[in-house]
Amino acid sequence: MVAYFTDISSGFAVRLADEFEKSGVAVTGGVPNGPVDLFVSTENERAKNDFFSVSSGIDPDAIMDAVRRHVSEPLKKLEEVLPYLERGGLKRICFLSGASASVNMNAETSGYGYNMSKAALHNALMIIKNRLGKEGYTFRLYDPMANSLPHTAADYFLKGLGKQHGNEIYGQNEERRLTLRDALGREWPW
Amino acid sequence: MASKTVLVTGADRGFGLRVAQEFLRGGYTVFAGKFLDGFELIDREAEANPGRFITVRLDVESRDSILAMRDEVARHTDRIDVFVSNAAFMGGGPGGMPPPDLKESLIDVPLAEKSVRVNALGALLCTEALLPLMQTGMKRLCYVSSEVASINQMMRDNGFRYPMSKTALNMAVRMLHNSLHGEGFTFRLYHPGPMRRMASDGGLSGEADPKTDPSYSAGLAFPFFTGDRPDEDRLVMVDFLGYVWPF
Repeated sequence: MVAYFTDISSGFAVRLADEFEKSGVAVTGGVPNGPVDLFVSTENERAKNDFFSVSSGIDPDAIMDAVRRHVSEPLKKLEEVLPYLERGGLKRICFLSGASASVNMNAETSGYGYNMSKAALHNALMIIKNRLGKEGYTFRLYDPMANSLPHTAADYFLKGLGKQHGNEIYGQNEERRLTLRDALGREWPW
Repeated sequence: MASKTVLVTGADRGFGLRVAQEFLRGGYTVFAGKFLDGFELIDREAEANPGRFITVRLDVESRDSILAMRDEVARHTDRIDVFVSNAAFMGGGPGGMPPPDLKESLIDVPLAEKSVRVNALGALLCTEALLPLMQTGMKRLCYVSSEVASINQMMRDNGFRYPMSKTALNMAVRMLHNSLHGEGFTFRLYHPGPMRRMASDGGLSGEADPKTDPSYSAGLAFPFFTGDRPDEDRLVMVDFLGYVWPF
């Protein structure tokens, strides 16, 4: 199997790539040269200039920079890789994200760029899932929490979640849904 | 200025114009954000109600314009009771659709980013700019969102620019709520329902149906924007029929 990583330069992405390779999954970046089984978007950093609040002053450039890094660029890369995923066997689309992007649960007063962009991404992915899920694509949206469990992330990205894998939850086939789960396996509300 | 005051963004036409008129009828002094040229109804309302319906130039995509708007409003009043964030970019037509053959364009980056800049960031920057004028009075912050911002209820399989921008708005409002609710600010997040587009002369596109006239939704929005709720400590998205939507 082959996994396409949007970026392999960050610490967590490097360790995640190691875990994939331990599982026999080759990791690639750049322009794929053949079928791809998994698309993995690894952009998940909070920028240093994204720690303002409404009282300290909104930084519009920081917000739009986060939208570019977390939404525009990864979706553009997904667009580029889709023809290669179409030829691959697994057809799986994975994004790193964060529970703070839950509109229901967010309790923060700073980090507008990260939280707004990731919440926007979640909705875009739901729409994309509604379209591509019918064509056999499966999705993973994963909060790595403290980035300390790359093997847990690799396992979640690689394993199946359907009934045939014994992971039926409340009578539903989780593979048909888009869920945000964290490194402890908890599902977060949108 | 003795009467209560409201500022409505995107008041040139449609829901923004009609809700501004609702506030005027409700006795408020209205500051109506004007972005488009050639839409006469907003100017006629200002001419008919001098000192009570005041147009202010406002492009929510520009921080300079937002600050100029704030300064202009501050020349008339030292207090805004209610802020209604309505200005929106609808996404530039159908877009962001993964096409069947997966080879055509999935995302139009400039249009996607413009959607977020207008619909979410613009609302946030307007709020920030108006806060100094909202430290007394009703302290009511109202945002026009949409059912398509609800990830939980998302059934679409195409066109994600506008939906994702409204989800970003909901998150921005959530974070504003986290910061400001403790200071006495109360929030309204409103889904106005389906509405026909209003032309420059006030005519409405599409099939005649009173329930898709922006006046209908605006009439229902006014008591929601100005009244009290028993659950003021919660942030909820409520539609024009009063139903709460999950995020």
